[in-house]
Amino acid sequence: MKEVLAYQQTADEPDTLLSLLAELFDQIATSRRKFGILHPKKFVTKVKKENVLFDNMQQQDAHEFLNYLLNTIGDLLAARQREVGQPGSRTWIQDIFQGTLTNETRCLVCETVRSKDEDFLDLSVDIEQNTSLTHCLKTFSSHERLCSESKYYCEQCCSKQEATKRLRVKKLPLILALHLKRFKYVEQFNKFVKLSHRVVFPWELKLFNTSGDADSTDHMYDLIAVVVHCGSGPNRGHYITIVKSHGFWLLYDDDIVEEIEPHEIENYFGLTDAQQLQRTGASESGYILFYQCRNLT
Amino acid sequence: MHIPKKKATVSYVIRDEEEPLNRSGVNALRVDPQARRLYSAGRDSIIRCWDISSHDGYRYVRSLEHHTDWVNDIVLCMDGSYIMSAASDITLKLWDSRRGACTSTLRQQQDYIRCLAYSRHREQVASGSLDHSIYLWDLKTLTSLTSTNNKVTTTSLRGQKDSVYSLAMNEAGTVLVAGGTDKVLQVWDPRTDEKMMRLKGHTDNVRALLLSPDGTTCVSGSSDGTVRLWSLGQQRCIETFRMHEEGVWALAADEVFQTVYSGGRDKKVYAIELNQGVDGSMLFVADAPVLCLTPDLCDPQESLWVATTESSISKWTFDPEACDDEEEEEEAGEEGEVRVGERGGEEREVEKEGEEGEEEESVEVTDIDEYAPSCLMKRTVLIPGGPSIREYRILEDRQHVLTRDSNGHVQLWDILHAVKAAGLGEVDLEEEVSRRKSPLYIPNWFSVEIKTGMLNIRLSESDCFSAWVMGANVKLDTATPDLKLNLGATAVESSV
Repeated sequence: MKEVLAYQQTADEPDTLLSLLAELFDQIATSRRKFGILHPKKFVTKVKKENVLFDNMQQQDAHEFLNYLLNTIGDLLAARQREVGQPGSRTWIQDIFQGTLTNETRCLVCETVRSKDEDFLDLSVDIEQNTSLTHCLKTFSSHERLCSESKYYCEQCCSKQEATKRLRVKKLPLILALHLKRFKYVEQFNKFVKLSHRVVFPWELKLFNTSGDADSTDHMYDLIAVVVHCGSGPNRGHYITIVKSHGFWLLYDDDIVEEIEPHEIENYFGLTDAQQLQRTGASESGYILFYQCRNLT
Repeated sequence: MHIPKKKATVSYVIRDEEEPLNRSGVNALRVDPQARRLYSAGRDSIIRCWDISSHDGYRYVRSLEHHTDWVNDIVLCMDGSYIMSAASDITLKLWDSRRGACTSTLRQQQDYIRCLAYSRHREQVASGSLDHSIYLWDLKTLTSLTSTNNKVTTTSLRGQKDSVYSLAMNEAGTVLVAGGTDKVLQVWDPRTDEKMMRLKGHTDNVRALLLSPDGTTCVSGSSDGTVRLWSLGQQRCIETFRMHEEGVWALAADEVFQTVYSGGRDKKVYAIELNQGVDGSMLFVADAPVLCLTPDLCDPQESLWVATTESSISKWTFDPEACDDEEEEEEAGEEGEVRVGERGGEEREVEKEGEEGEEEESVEVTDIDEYAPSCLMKRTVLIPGGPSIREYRILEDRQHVLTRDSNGHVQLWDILHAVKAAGLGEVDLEEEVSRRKSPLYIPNWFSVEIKTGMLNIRLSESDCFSAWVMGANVKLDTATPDLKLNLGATAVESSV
């Protein structure tokens, strides 16, 4: 697991995001000191240089960054593969993070189902107050009715008819990154707000390949990391990360790394209605959850 | 709140003056036994009347045209002298069947009207819509409307929470059942609007309903593939039939409500004897998914008129010769018959006993000659239908449209003259399109719809006059080469 994450590249060519990332891992792994702080200056500068969205003094969104990082590394790896004459083969980014969603639409008149597959590196899930991650994932895959003014144009019927649509996970990735959609645009206030809803996430997540394909066994996933967003709004805040390492849980807060007890992770589920009303408790809520598949065969 | 102003649109169909053949699937069929007529409600928006007095033939009588979208259901009322129709153009229409004229149009509901139910004794019709509403209409009032006295009052039944896809009412008009996407059968007494019960059991859309004449028994067909028998007295499902492999879309019963016929997406039509236990025997396999079944009340032999998603209509009649093969059947292990699931059971227990005595899950009888021994009915009348347009491409010159129909034939249409320019036969549509590219950019001034299987051109006030082309580039006799022509205006003028 860790070996895969610590994938190393030799940087004898001009610096790329990938080589600088590898350098960071390398520096930590080969450092002679038992503990210390590493400033990822070169890496951050490169990110800002490569992506204009990050090139400012504003605070950024972790999910956007994750998305950008994974896609960029993926592209760089794909480019390397083309260079060595292996175009089209999967990169380790895909092997680890890529899953497939299928969008199924069923016309209620002719009952024909149209499926459209879509690859993903992470899943963005809508959340509700006082729910569990499992509940939110169920809602993610629930049926949506296309009716009234937004009927579906069915190509079998050659006309607009009622239909049901749903998103199903066709292929699960090795590491499932779940992005909880905590930042919502509220038309009423004409701005984005943070939803500090309490969403309980489990240590173990049982997932089914819900598309009903041949491989219909269920998969067990274990929580390995949580990116927590601290703050009451979307514009200012702080990120801390909780990672499982060698059997214990570590909390990374910039340059402070501490071991925490597993039960303390419950503090990062989010705020209850009462807490939100009284504005008690800093809103530190799980934002991106990383689950790893148990059977890695 | 910004409510967009509804754009004025004009639409017209490019077609022959009379279309004696169905141009798309047929949604509903009704038989008038006294006049010996068959009425068909087409997806091509036309209701047709056929003379079926000779049992092995048919004669086209007339077309009733007024709807602009699929006609979803029809009922014959007032001793067959009036027809009520429900369509996806969100109107109900009343027709004088003798004169073949539309006498009233009712615009009460706000979404497609999918189904109708009729009570002969009370001369009442119920209409069910995708807008969740069910309205009751008094025919005596409707048929005595005049231009000065044209107000109709109607009542809506309350309680339906989702789209209505099926309705049934008994002759006496004392019980009304509705089914739809909420999967539950809602039952009312239409005389008092009182909700009587909700029957749960189906796991998908309820597409077809039947009520016994005394209103105590209900039969339902659903997209979940099952046919269910319900006792309204006991308020529960007493039998579940699992012969079908796919959704059940059509149900019919004989006059004494002893035999129920079912058909749907899997094209197979079964007969269920309600009082003889759980067997459903396969009668025949239709040409396409079955949309409607109706017994021919004029024919002395047991026969069914069948409407499918294809444009032809067929009559299937009980074949006494098929019974001689029964002995053969028993030896071979009853391939045609299917043992139906247990009462109220959830699992699909379908056994096919082949010679090996295997238990198989599927009902498919493909490796044996399934048509001869297994089918108890044979086709005796075929009313052929015409091809329907299934695909279209608006050409870049914005004066022509290419279409491909259900037979795989491609046609070229001249939109300015509103005629068919050429039948190109079985060619490749994309190839024909790429051969007719235009170097000029011309905006789209019309849109095309093919929901009725015919070519429907729609002009919108916002853009129908947006296309200007030099006369030299227009295929029009009256065009002057160096004068600019407006395509929309030209089309409108030529059709006047």
